[in-house]
Amino acid sequence: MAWEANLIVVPTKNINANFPNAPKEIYIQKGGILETAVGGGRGFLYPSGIYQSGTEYARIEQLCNFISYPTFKKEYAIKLSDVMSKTNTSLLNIFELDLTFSNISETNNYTGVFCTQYTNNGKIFELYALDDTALSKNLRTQFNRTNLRCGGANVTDINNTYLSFYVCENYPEFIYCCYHDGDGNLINVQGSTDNTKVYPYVWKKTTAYPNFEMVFTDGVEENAKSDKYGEESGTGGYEGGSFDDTSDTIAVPDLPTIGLTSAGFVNVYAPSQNALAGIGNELFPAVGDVTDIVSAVTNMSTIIANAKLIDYVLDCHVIPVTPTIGEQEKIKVGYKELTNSAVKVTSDYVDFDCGTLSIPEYYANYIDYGAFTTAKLFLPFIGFVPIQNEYWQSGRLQVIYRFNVIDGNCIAFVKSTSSKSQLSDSVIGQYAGTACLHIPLQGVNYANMLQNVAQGSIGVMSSTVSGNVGGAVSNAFDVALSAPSMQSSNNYSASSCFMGIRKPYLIIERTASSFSKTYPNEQGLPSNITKKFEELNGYTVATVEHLDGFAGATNEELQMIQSALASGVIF
Amino acid sequence: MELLLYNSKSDNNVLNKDIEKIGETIVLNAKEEISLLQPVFIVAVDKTTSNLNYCYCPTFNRYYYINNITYLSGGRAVLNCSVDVLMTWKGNIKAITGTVDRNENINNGYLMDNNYKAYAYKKIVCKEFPNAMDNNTIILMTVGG
Repeated sequence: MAWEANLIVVPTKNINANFPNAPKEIYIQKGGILETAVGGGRGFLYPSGIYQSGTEYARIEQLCNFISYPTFKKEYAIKLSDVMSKTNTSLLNIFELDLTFSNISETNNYTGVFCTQYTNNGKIFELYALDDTALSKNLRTQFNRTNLRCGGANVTDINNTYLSFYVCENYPEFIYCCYHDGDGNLINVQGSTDNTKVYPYVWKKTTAYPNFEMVFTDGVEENAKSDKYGEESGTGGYEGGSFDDTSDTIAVPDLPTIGLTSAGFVNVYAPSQNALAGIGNELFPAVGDVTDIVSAVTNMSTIIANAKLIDYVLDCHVIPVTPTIGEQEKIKVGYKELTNSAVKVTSDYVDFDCGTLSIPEYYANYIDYGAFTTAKLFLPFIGFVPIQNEYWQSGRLQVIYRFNVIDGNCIAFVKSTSSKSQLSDSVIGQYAGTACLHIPLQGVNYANMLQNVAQGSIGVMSSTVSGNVGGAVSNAFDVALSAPSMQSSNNYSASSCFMGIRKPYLIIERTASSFSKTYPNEQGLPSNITKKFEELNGYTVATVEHLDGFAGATNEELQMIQSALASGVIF
Repeated sequence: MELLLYNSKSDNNVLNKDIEKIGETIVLNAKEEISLLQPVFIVAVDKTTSNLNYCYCPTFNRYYYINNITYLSGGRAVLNCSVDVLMTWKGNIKAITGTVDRNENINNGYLMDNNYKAYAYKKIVCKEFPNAMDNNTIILMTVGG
């Protein structure tokens, strides 16, 4: 039914104050308006304007700014010739529905009016409305008391006139019925010759009639179903597309603002190599000249005192970029402030822009795309990633790395600008990797080792006092020169990528095409354009299925023409 | 029935052929049975008439390729012909509005071309981004304050 999809809901205005139950919204067909029948009025459908139904009226604004179309589902369609007969031959085109109204009953706790339709003394269906007596009065009005009269100049063939009932999924309280022909065109059944006016009947549940419902029983003929094998396909699919291929810009996110560098009790420095060596010397000074017992003992005391400081060094690693740095300050390790200084790192994250690559199309045709040209992008610390041609052909690629200075992880943002893909400086991929070289410092058994040696030294010194100097010197000397055992709590982590390439690059594999110079003349080039052939020049291939206007041409000639055009004709 | 003889310098797939008239219009004594699309004409031409490969029959309003000439005695020849639908119906063909699949002048290079040829090897190039991440920096993290 064509009009099923054309009904929209719009609010009404200037409702008569005497009819507070009048609908606050009505349904409008495209190009017209439809009034609800609450209160017993009939409906009119005509271009927007003032309409009047009984004593209700409302001014309907011009159709505009509607948002959505509700969907109507046709419940049943009744062919009038099955339920009506011409009983009064003196009335032109008037057919009467043989209805019998039952008395009000209280079956199933409802009260209401029932009507049963008969034809040829056979029951066709029952249509009954269940509600209180107030609504039933309206029903009687609707059904013209005991008759549902269908007439008027536009009803000439009850074999092609249907009464249909509709429900709307969006607005379940509305039930529509209307007259239409077999093609779905609305029929004015009340005598007006004005085709713009029809009389749909609408039932609407209101708060005044909460129990109203329209019930359809068995017995209604199934010709209301359009396709017993399934849903019949309708029209559509080639119009109404938005053709909106605008693209949003996906930007690189801002740097996070919270991190370890702002925690306060964790210090992150970017020392120079010399400063790092100085830190080591300051934490673990050499014992010195072992013949100078006082100096050696002093240094040993420092070593012992600093033994635990190593536990306050969280990590030491190398990253491939310069972090965001602040002022130079003395390095703090635990409770001790060292004499060596380094610049402080002020942000956990730092971005590095690897720059932009602009690559024009090589062939400026289809060979630059699809399977004919492929590319892969190498990202340092990550590896090779595939990249679609539309992202970089005749466009720009930019790679921005974001490093986490604290743990050495990185993420690479790949941005694209390309007219082919409608992208403008948008992130089209992000890839994670690890980019740091760890220097192991934790878990060294300095403390235990030095403590044992110190105990030994005291014993040696005692013996020295007693004259056994050689032994003490020998012992201390061994300690100073021996390498401490490196009991690492974490393995040495030298990311292999750190030894790799540090610049991103693109590898492009292109098909090497072979075109002869006369190829366009001999075979033409792909076109797919609609043209009048008299505007064409040169070699042309066209597929023409229908040849009209060739008066006098035989079938064989027409086939020869089609074959010639398909093979190639020089215009 | 008349016949005009020509020399066509154009290829068969040319719509509007470049033809040069040869001799005068010939009045035919046509064979009783004559095909509209593949007629056989017996004309008064001798072997000295050269470059004869095309003709036009006003009666049939059609152009024909002369596929074969059999010279008879008495200065006559049998012309075995086949209709040239392009030249005959060129006006109607030009009036067609349709979809052009291929054309040497009006074309879109981004449409796939199934006829193209390529070499067996591929061209491989590398394009490098300008900036390298080679500012190695030591990071030392301590607890203390």
